[in-house]
Amino acid sequence: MYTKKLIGLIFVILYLFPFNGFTQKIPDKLTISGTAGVSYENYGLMLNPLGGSFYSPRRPWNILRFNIKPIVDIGKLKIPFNLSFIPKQPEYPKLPPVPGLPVPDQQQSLGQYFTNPRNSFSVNPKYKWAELQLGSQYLKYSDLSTGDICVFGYGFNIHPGKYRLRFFKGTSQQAVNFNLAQPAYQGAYQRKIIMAQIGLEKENVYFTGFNILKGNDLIQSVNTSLPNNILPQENVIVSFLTRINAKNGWQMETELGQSFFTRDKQLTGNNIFIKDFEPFIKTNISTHKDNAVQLAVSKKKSNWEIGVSGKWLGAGYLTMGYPFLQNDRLEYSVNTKFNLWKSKMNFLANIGQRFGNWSKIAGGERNKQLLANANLNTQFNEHFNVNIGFNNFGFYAPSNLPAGGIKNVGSDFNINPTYTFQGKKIMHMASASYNWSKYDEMVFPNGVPVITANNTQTYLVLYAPTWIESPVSGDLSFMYFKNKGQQNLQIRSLSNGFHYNLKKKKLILNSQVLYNATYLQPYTKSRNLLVTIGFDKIIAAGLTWKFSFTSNFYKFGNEFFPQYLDPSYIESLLRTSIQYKFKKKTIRLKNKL
Amino acid sequence: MENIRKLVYCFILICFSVSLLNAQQIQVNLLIAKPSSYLSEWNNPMSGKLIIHYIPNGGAGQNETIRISGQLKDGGGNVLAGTSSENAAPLLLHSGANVFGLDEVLSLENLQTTAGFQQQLTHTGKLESGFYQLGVQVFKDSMNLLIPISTMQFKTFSISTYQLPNLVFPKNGSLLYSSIAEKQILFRWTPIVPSPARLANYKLTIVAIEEGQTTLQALQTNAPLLEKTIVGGTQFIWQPNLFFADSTEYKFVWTIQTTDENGNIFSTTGDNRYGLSTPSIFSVQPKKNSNVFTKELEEENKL
Repeated sequence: MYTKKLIGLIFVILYLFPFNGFTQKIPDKLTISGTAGVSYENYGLMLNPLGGSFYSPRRPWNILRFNIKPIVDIGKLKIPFNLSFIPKQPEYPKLPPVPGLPVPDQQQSLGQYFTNPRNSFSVNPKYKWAELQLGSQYLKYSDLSTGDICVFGYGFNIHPGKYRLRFFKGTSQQAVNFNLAQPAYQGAYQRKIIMAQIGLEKENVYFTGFNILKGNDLIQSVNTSLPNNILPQENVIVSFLTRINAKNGWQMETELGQSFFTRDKQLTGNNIFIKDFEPFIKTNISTHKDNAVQLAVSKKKSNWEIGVSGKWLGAGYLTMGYPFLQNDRLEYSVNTKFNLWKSKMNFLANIGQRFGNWSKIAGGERNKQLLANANLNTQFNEHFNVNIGFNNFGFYAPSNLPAGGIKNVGSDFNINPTYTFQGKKIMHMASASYNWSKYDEMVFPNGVPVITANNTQTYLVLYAPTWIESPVSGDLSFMYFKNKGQQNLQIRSLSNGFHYNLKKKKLILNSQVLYNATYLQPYTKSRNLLVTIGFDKIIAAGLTWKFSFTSNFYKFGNEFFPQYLDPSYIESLLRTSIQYKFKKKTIRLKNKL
Repeated sequence: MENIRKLVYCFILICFSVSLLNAQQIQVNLLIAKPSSYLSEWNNPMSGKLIIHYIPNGGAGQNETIRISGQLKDGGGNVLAGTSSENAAPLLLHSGANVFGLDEVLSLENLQTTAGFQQQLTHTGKLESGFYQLGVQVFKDSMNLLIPISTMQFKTFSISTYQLPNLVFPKNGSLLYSSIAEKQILFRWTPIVPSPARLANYKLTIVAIEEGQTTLQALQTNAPLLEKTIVGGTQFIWQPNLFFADSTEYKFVWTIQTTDENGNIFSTTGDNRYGLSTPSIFSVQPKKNSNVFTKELEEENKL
């Protein structure tokens, strides 16, 4: 069924393509370029005492990945392939935060293997203004419709003249059965996505068009019933998008969107408030619909830029194209950028406000968030550079509940001077960095403010010499970090790195030693030593071998006493990869035919 | 004259039915447990139940047809919505305990609402935070004549809807200085609002984004480098203990999963079944001198 549709689509596209010339005059050659590589990771963890519960593994033990990306050019036809896959799904010590992987000990069907988010198989043949999109695609249509998900399927993108037409259909989430074996898989319904865009565009001047997205969970796709919080859902988004870039530097972008969202497709009752939006969605009692809008206007000149942007998302606006979009908010920001003093000084600033709980559905009061950032970078001369940054963040949520409201205020200031100068044999770079950060968390139980203050200071000094006539460079840095507040923490850290560039052997050696002493009150000092060695080596033209091995010995203080007395662990990570960049290879077709 | 005769017959029928009902025993109990803020989820027994105990005078096996009328009021006693007994679906009452869902009490297919409440349901499908009263009245359906067999009983309940934290620092898309980031990275987020009765658990999750992966793909496929639960607080200092000193630009995605003390997800306005805040990405910039060498090597290796 799926294959038939695919073949049908290919025929339609081939028919639409202006291939007359192509069929009459077959190009006499094809070229192949691109890359191919394989990488391997091995993770190790040794606990002392063995079997302790004071530290848990944070990576799968072994992962082998293949990455093959050839590009075939036949005349004006370009066919880029992307084949990224792992032959065997690794065993996870901790599951990824978002469910979507099949249970590892169950045999995967070919369809599951292709739609497994670990793998990516795609081919996108392009001919003049037409592109066929097959396999795993990450397609962004707009900010309010879709842009965050990978869909495995088929579609096209054609843009004859000023017309734009895009379509894609496929699976964004494969079915996963509920499995209680540890670690537990919550399960997921298979999710089908159809998206389309139709519009008019003059490249870099304007675009105007409609987007539509339909997402649909298939109830029959799982064999086991899923937990109550995993419901089969359906979603339709329609949005209208316009972008204008005027010659005089003005830019404008706006989008209006409406979403229909059915929380539970299993319910059957008719929705008396929301009519069916046929042929796209039939509503039921769990359907709701809401709107969203965004607008951005800016003016750009050679030495300055200023812009305003705003966004409002209704409390019921949901899109499967951005599954973690937080709604029910209004926000705006003003951004500016200046180049001064013959472009030696760059100033960048923005200030914005966000109102959460705009509909007041989560209590009678809206919460407010203020974000302001400014950064000034000055290159005084070829030797001396200073970067100064300031961030301010405020959050206020009034409340008449007994738990009271919340007010959090954070301010950060940092300054980073860097001085470089060249001696007879050595190029020296000296850099310092100071960061001051204050963060107050206030709650008002019974109207009385209770403040938790955090004061953080970071000092860093860094010296990095590069020997001009010798293949050596290095860096030495010391950092002191102190946080007073919820965590009374001090970190003293010393780091030393070396790089050897053995040009004749086409080899770069890297090494680094990092020592940290961590003081977390009320415990005794924890220490760790992290050592890394590695190299990048050119084996032959286009063939690169990368290798790195990192080992971290960590000895805890007395935070696990009396269960464990001075526990420690050694964590290691070996990474190696071989990457081949194809020489552009030309194959004569006429001789072959 | 004909109309007066009909009225008299009706009156006699009602009197007869009421006298029969008095002989029967009917007890109506509305139990409200943890009602979902989504009215469409009131079919879930976790939300509550309507239990009608029915003992017919003629002994077991004698069933009655009933219709249910419901009413929803806000904490101030203002009626927000109601269902009429005339349009309610007929239900069969058996001898003994009869259990119905709250969706039978306030049937969404038969709901009359105020304009404001209708707009809210259309946009979100859910009740806003606050106190409510749910009322129920049971009618006997006797040859399409509806005779009340209970008074309107109200039970009070509350709904809490929350807004998940926003991730503040490191800012989405920020580039951190590797010499500091290899030693510590500071994370801050806004708290869940409104404040829950007990301190919320914030599980900070950090995942590495491998080369060629998108944010969502990394969240779906990579094991977290850090999973740390912070109770109540909105700041954490992470010591990554990772190697950042080569020419690679390391990318990470982080998010906060907010739960109550028992690990349950809070009800929010989004369709966020996992309680995850909108993820944010940050990168650690390569060390300057290592980058220079690798670029040289790449230049040499250019085809």
